[in-house]
Amino acid sequence: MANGSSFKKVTATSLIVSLGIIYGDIGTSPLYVLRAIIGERTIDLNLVYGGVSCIFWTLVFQTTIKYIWLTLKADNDGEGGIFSLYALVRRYGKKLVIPTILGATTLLADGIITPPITVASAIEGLGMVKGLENTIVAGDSFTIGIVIIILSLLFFFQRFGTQAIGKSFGPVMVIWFTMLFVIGMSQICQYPDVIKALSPHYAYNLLVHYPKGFWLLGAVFLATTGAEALYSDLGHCGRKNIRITWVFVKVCLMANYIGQSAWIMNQGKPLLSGRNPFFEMMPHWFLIPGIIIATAAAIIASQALISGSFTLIHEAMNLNFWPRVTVRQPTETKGQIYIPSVNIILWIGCILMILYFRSSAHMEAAYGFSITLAMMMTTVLLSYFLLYKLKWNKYLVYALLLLFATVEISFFIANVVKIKERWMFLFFELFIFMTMYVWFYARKINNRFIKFIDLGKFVNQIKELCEDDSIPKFSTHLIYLTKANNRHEIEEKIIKSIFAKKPKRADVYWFVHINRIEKPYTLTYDVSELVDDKVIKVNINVGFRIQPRTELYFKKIVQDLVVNKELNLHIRSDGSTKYNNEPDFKFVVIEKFLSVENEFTLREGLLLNSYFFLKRLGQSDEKAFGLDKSDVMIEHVPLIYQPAANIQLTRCKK
Amino acid sequence: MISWHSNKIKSDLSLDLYNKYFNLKNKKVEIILKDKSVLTGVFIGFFKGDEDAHEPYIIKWHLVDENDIMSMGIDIFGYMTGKIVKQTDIVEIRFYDDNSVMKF
Repeated sequence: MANGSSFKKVTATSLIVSLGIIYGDIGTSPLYVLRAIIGERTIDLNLVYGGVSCIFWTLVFQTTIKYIWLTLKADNDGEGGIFSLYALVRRYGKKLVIPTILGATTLLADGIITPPITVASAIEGLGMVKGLENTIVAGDSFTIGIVIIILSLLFFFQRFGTQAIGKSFGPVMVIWFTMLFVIGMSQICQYPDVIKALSPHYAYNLLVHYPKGFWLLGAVFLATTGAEALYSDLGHCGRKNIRITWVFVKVCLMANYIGQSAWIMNQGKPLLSGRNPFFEMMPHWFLIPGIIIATAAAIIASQALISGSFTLIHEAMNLNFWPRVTVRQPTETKGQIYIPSVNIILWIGCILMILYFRSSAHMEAAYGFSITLAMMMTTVLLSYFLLYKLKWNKYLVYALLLLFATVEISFFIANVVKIKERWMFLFFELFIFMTMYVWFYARKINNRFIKFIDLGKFVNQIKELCEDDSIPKFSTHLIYLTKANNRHEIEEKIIKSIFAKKPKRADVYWFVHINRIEKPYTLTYDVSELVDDKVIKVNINVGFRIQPRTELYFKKIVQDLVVNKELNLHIRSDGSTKYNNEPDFKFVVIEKFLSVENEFTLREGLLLNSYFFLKRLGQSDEKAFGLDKSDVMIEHVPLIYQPAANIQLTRCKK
Repeated sequence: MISWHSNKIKSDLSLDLYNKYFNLKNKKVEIILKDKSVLTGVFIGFFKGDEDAHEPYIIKWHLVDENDIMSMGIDIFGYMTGKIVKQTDIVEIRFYDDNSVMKF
């Protein structure tokens, strides 16, 4: 995938690449949406035209107005997605963290159903090929096996990155959308009268007058499930590229939906009986190439969801919503990451989905609920953005909020009935939600009990210790990671670590503060020397999309200081000796643990115990800060949060 | 329920106190708390508020006897000495260094 900055300009290449990155999910919806709307119902004009009209107006309000026009305005230094939006508005409401967690949770849940439903829909189309009617049957073991193999290969290849294969995504999606358009238009040309299905009165009739028509919104909504991905991929493609390509995509999608409705109305049978109009309207000779293209598009859609999930968890980690886990960069491409633990969770989730539901038609009944919630949460955050960041008139913002709330709450209500089909998702969603909730709030509790002291008060003592030859030298450079952003502050535990028990004598004491900032790709630093060449505070500003590599940054900073003659040591500049070339850096990482001394309220106890449990499962601090290759000493200190106050200890009388 | 938060910037008195205090030569202070109690001593540490929750820069101070100014505020068994004072409980603070008074 490409980085944000390289796609500021609009070129033919950037437009094609954008098509490959963004539209996999929304672009493959014609595979199943109209079939889901018709279902087992008797085919009639109100149902078919009403369905197409609902799809069209949903794409107008939900995708074009909300996402393409409004939400894309909320770019955080070029980056999009729910966490970027949260980073933009978090100062305007402390409870915005809940919609953010809920939105991110439901987006991740979407990641375990989109790949199986899309791949299964494409593969099931093979059942229409002559000779394969009895081999490829939706829901049978052989078909499920093929879907599992494709999905497993897709997840297996994630570790190698998508740089090479990603180049073909754009051209494949151009072919896919052209195919949607041509096949759709071939039906429209035969039955041009079908165009009138775009009239909103058909949508109104379906929702209001058709028996149980309102509940069909659950199926209509599937046409716009990929809209959230448009925003998440803003950083990869740029706003202009997304807006321009959307015109092409929407025309192709609507041509296909209208074409499907024309075929349904004119195929002569009262019921669909499980037939998929998407494949049925293809000329027979084109069926195999059509299915191959559909499968390729389905894989691209799945890939987009998987990459999006990696990005989402990476951002969650950097904004302290998720425990630190291993993040790999499979290629040199900026922004392309691979998170093994997320890959395994998604892979298991997708396999369980296909094994449980067995066919795409069954998955349609469960699909959509998560993403309605995600969209509602984005609407909440977006209204803050429009009101406080863009400073739009509050009545205009309220009007927009009312409009989207009406549309999305309607979709939500229509999708609520799907809960009974998707109860197993709730466990997955609860797990994700609780992980984010616990991690975020337990860290807050933790941070509240970090005691800071005035570093200046201890500077003379540190100088004395540096020069005290009676104490064995601990290291040439002793580096502590600190949360204190002010140059005169330091955590008390660090001063204790230096002076307590056996004092740690060093030539230079470094206090490094990693400052996670809201601008996604910032990487800057500033240095303040509190005692010349002895006590140095370094502030490294790291954007929330960057994985911190403290050791690397630190060495670069030392080199810069030596070259600029700001660091003037009476030893070899990096602390190495004539006997070896290795610089003598020692990092001290202080890890907290829950001591038995603590007394908590029920909520705090649960939060902190869960936090320390998650911390044990996650990545160690030294790995998380990119120090795994360094000389690191871990010191464990108790988190005395609420020590027991009243102890009834009585001495026994002899 | 999410409340529409006012973006009005309020002055942070805890930050004013922090900036003044750590530039004093004589760190001894006298504090009057909401419950009318009067404490004297020196601040040796502080706990920061949550920026996201719009809390003040400092929410609590660690006050010890002036003779313990170079201590970490713990005894030989590791238990805390002195007193933790909430920023919101402070009504008035008098600085021995310049005899000035800061009211909250």
